[in-house]
Amino acid sequence: MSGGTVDRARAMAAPLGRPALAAAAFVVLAAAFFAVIGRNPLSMIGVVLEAAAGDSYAIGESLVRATPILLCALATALPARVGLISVGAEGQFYAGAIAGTGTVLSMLPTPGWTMLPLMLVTGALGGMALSLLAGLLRTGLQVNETISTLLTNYVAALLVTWLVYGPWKSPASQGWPATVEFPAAAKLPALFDSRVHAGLLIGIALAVVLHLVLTRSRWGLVLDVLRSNPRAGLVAGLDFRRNALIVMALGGALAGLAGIAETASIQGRLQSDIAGGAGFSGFLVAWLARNHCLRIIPLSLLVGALLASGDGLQMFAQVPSSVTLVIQGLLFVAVLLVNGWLDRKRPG
Amino acid sequence: MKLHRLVRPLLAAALALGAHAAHSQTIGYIYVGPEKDYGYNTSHDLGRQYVEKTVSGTKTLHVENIPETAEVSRVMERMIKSGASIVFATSYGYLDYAIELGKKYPKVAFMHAGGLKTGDNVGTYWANSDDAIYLAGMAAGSVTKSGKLGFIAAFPIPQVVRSINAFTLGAQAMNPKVTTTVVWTGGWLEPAKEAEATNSLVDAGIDVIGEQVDSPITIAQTAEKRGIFVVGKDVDVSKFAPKSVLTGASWNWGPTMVKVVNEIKAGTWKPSHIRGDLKDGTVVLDPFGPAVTEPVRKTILAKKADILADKFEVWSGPMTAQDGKELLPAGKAMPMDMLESMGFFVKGVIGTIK
Repeated sequence: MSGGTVDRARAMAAPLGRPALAAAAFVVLAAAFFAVIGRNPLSMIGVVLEAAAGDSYAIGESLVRATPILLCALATALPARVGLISVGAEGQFYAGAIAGTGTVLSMLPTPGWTMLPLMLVTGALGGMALSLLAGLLRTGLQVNETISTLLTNYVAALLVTWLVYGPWKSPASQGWPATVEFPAAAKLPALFDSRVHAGLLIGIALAVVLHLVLTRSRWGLVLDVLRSNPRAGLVAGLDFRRNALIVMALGGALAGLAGIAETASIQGRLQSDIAGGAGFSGFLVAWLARNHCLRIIPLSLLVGALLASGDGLQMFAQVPSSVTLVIQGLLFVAVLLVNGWLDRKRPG
Repeated sequence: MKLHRLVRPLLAAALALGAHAAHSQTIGYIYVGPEKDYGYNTSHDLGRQYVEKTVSGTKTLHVENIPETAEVSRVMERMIKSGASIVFATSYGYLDYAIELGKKYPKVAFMHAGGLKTGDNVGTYWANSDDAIYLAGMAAGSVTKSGKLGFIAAFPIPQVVRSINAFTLGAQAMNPKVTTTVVWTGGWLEPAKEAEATNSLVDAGIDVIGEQVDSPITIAQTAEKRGIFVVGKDVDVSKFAPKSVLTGASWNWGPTMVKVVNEIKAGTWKPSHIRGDLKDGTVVLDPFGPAVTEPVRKTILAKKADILADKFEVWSGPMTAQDGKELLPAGKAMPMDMLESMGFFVKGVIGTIK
């Protein structure tokens, strides 16, 4: 291996140092919390690890939970590259789920091989449309994108509720508000003998591609200038509006993809509440990763694992669900602490 | 797996908790809300405790706050992988996930609360509260001065619609003019919305409120403050609102659960729809509060005796729909499917099913 390759590998690995440190800080904080509530920290952390990654089943479930979070984190990180703060991944998730479900329902009862690609594309377009709405409001009318994406989250979630209580309600569901079950042709290929689906691989691949594009391409540089020095961007003739719309559109598409992939492959039907906060978890992950696409990968896996382990912690350690919420909160505290500490040490 | 090897020794300590005890039967319980909600979930957890106490060699796992999405598949599967041979999936939206998982684990028995579908290894249990709610509605109809009742409910699903209609019919038996205004909260556990709904109903002149949300506790405590009355459901909360609670329809799941567990142990269990009611004691009419007068108590208890003796049937004609159309002619009993998929309100209910 040449020296250049090693350097490059080291450069690629550098952003992973923070997540590793944050994970260590998290274990310390969690141990302290367990001690405070009178439980043996070592055995409790053992239970968390067992529930999150103790066997192939637990690992699979952690990856299942991480998949939409990863895509939603990327959906947040992308607009942030031009300084836009979108909190709309949750709504874009639902918009994608709605659009993709519409495709599936319109192709029933004779699903062919075209169903899956068409479903994924329309799902991405659905998320894109909702995100573009906020983008256009921002670039056209100076409406704050944080507020508009926050509000469209409610609109999209309520639209799902309306659809599954009304026009899309399955006649076979006996009153339960959900669409018909998706056919096998609408499911992404599963990995191994688990519920993990190809959406995870798509998410990881997209994270790597986005990282390379954002750090290596001229376009990435354009975005950096627009974010860090809008005035210089203006002088250089860079088009903020155009680029803002592009990142909003791409971000929305990623969250929309998360929505339809989750709906088809994990839930198996569209119904209310299926996002389970993936959009908001994604926002936190993006923020913790400081919109760094590679750092998003381990952090979403960590958050996904922690969320997936919550029920195991309840089951095996007989703690109420509030304890699992505290543990999840401590992860964010840990990352904040580590980020703050490293930044003080090495300003800039 | 490196991590796996690392985790094992730690686990030995965790296992001291007994999660995988070899020779006992493990039963998993999943709740949609908090186990200590003083409502629906508490009623099931009381059942769990009863099973653990009554059936020797039984150990239970329980998990709260699990949404009615594919999340529950993970929880059920983890329970099974941890040795559970029976899973009580206690919320309506868990049904399809239980049936799906049942195909993957044919040796595990699933018991679902309230479902209308079974699988080769998925049975359901439920208890019909209608009779007790009708009786509680009688108390409401006798106490109201304004003739305006309220009902705070989570979702327009058949089980809830039945309660609203039974409550109204019971009240109308005491006072034919009463109306019931329905407020949907859109969630099983929305304490802020429940308190707000209670307050706005009181402001609109309503003086007795029935409910079917996760727990009557918020509504009862708010009603106590506002000086109006409530009819509870699922768990008796009169100790938290002694003046307001008129009576209520509470669950008593323990004996049903024990019966099923024993059948499964004995190998005689066949998946079916187990349905209890006031008669078999799965549903209990709670003790009357001080606002219910002695003559009214007598009338209600006489009606209860008629129900127990099959002399009175809540779901029988004449019955008129909200819009004035005839639902059932006099003397005709409601057909089973009409009852179980109820999607209409009776006359006197103000509100829509959306």
